[in-house]
Amino acid sequence: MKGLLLKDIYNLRKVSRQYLLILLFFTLYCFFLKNPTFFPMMTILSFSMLILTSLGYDEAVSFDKYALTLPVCREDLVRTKYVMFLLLLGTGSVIGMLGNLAINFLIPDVESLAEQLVSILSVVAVFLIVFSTMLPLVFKMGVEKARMLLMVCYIAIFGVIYLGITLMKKLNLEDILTEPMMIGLAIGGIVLAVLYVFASYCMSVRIIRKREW
Amino acid sequence: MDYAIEVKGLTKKYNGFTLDHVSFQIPTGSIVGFIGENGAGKSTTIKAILDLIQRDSGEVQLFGKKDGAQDKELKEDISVIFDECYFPDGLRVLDVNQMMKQIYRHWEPATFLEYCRRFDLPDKRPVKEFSRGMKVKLSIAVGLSHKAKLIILDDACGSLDPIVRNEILDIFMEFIQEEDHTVFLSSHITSDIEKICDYILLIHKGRLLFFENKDALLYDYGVVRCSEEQYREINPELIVGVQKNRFEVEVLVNNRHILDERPHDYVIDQASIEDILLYVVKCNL
Repeated sequence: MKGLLLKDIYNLRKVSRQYLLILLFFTLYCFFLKNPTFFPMMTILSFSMLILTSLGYDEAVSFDKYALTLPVCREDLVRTKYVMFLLLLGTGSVIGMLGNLAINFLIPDVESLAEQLVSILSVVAVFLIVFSTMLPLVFKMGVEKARMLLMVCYIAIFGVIYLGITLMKKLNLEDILTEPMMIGLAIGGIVLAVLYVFASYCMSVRIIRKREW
Repeated sequence: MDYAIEVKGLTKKYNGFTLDHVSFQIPTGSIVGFIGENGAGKSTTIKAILDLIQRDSGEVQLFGKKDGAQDKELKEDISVIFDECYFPDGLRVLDVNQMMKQIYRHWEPATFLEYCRRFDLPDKRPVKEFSRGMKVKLSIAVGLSHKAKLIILDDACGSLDPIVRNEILDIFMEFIQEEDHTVFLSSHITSDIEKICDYILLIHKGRLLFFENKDALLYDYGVVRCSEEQYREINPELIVGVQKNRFEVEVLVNNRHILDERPHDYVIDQASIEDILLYVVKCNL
């Protein structure tokens, strides 16, 4: 699996310059709009999207077919992509948080740091769910078709979140929720999202076991 | 006798094509040429051996192990070289070296870089800038750099120029000097097969037509160039295929020595592997 991960990292090297430019753009955007929370959200999204780029590169040259002739099993192919996704999500989150802190330092924000942490954790949980829904679809039908479904996933998941927030407001839960409770809820969301990732991984393994090249 | 590959009753059905109960055994220490026209089932057979497709029935053993292609340990000893390169475009030779170092336990960086140098593959240019031939050479360099015991080639030499192809065939001849090394070579280039193979495996429309010793084939098979009348006098059991034109009849026979023993006034030439492929396939249309 280490070799496959290295391959993905080498292959993503060519988009690194574009990503530095994107990060610079987000930083300036957040600085001028005085909105630090936008930065982590966009870095987490941008880095997570790289998993689709990586899968797309592999698909373009049928790398999986070749990989299976090496001392690599079908499960390794899936495992590598999930680990790669978590690494990308983690990198995006760390850069996002650091950027968030830096922008906060330059422009003191109206939101407290705890609120910002909750919002970052919520974004992580949402992207864990979105991409974990996507990955089995990618293994089943390929990147291009699954990319179209990404929008559907976003709309569905953000729809659920919007409904939840509306319901919270209607029931006046916002006033009852204290900061520690919100952090607890965000962590609970992360735990649920991790379980969802595991279920998604198992489904992807089932799909790849039946796949033909 | 030990076998590197054993295939028994291999069947795979697609819409419009069936690989039909294919069985053969590839002896360890041999070079076996796998021939057949486009769509005959060569790649399907190789994919089934490598577990890249799910077979409908039959059994495949690699080095005596059932479904060996599912065994990571066993795949350390196998190299597969396809007709295309499957390395992602952004990778360079040095990246492939680092990647394979992590994948193969017996990866030999020096051997790999030496083959890359021998094949004129630039270290620092991405694969996307390589020609098709260079990409195949990269796959061959990988295949020869991890102490494999079995090399499977799926029409890999087709995109190489004759000089490089010749060099690669010589490398395979060197490789086969170790008695436990085996090469299974699927190719359209019958001259390559004729040059290096010990056995010929011929497949047509998903069915195995024969698996023969190459020297015996070349020694026994012949092309008789005769008249229509002379053709009718040839024992039908000897006839494998016939091609008629306005001036003469060309007959592929499976034992030219029997005809040679009798007095005759027609010409009998030694048949090449290409002749055998053409006549046998036409006869079985």
